[in-house]
Amino acid sequence: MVEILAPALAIGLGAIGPGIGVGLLVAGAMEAIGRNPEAAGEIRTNMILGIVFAEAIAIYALVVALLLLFVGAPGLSG
Amino acid sequence: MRKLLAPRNLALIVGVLVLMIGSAVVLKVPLPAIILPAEAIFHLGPFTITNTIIATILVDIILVVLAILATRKMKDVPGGLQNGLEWFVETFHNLNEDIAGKKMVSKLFPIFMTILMFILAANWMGLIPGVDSIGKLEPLETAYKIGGVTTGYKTVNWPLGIRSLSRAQGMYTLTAEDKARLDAEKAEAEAHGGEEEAHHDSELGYYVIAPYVRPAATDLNVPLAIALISVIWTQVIGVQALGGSYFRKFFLPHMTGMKVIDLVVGLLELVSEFAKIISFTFRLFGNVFAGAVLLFVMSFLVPFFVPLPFYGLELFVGFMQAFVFAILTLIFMSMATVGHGPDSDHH
Repeated sequence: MVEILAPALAIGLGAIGPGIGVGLLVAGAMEAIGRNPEAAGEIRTNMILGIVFAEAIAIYALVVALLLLFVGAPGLSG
Repeated sequence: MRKLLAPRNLALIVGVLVLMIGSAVVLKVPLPAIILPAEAIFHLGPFTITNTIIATILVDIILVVLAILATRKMKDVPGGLQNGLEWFVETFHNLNEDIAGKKMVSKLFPIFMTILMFILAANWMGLIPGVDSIGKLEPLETAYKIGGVTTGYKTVNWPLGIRSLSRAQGMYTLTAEDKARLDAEKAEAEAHGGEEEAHHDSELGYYVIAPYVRPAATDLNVPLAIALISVIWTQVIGVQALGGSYFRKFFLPHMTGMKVIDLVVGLLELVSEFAKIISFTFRLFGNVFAGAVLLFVMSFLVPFFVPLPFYGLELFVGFMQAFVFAILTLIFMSMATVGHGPDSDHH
């Protein structure tokens, strides 16, 4: 039970922060495009770059989850 | 529209549809084994050649051949491949000039482009059919001992000695007793120290696939190697630009005038260099590995049409990760060429 719950919690909790972060990023970018549609291209590029960095945090959580799932942790019964 | 409905095209479309639906009914796509460490394909003396090493060498060959083909007959007015590659390189050269400045660009651009092209080719390789899906059959027991895979499939025999996995013929999940027995065997083999001869037939009769070629970045070693090159070369660039005073930012930099705070700031700089290695490594590894798993699972659930948008997503993620890796290297390097402290420009 623990060995299934641990990776689930790792990715589930780890995805909350990046989710909020990506939301804020896109919201800000959309507002900026609304204010200044001429700069849409540049804003979109920077938005995607920012999303990638926020998403990387979720990926760290995913790596931990995958490690727990396939390699296991010492002390974890399984 | 008329062209699309020409008899030959119609026959092709119908043929593809029949093959797709037919194979879905007969075969059913098995879930490939998700193994974290790269699988060994063969041994070359003391070296173990894993499937990610094969992928790395293939990527090198692809890039070299591409470069030779594009520059073989250089023309003043480029066309075709030469034009495409020139556009690709020039776009990023201009970007580098914006970020690093005209003075440093000739020094930093080659490493930026090398990292970008290598990772891009390595990531997109995973989208080619056959990569990550054609491989040798590994007995379920061996796969469990390598990477903790607990489910295997029966094999189907084809002409010419080809065998494939079949979900239709049932799968086997290791029981707790199986696991205990295999763990004990593994521990025993490790205690004896001798390398265990891999047996090629499964006692249980169930197998998983160890692909011949697996996207290079799904092996933690590849991102780690590129990250180490990137971070160490950053130090070299820093020393080349600033001389010995480059290291002052780690040890007692003159930032605030208060020695205690300066000491802590220097320590943080030092730690952040090592944190860079870790974040570089896991960002690339995590994205590519997760992408591979995503494609596995999607093709397992619905073999046709549904995985297509995910291939598009992976195309994007593969480029984005290569670009982010390269651009971060560039930014760190151009930051290393700027001195720290009140006597230099702050940014």
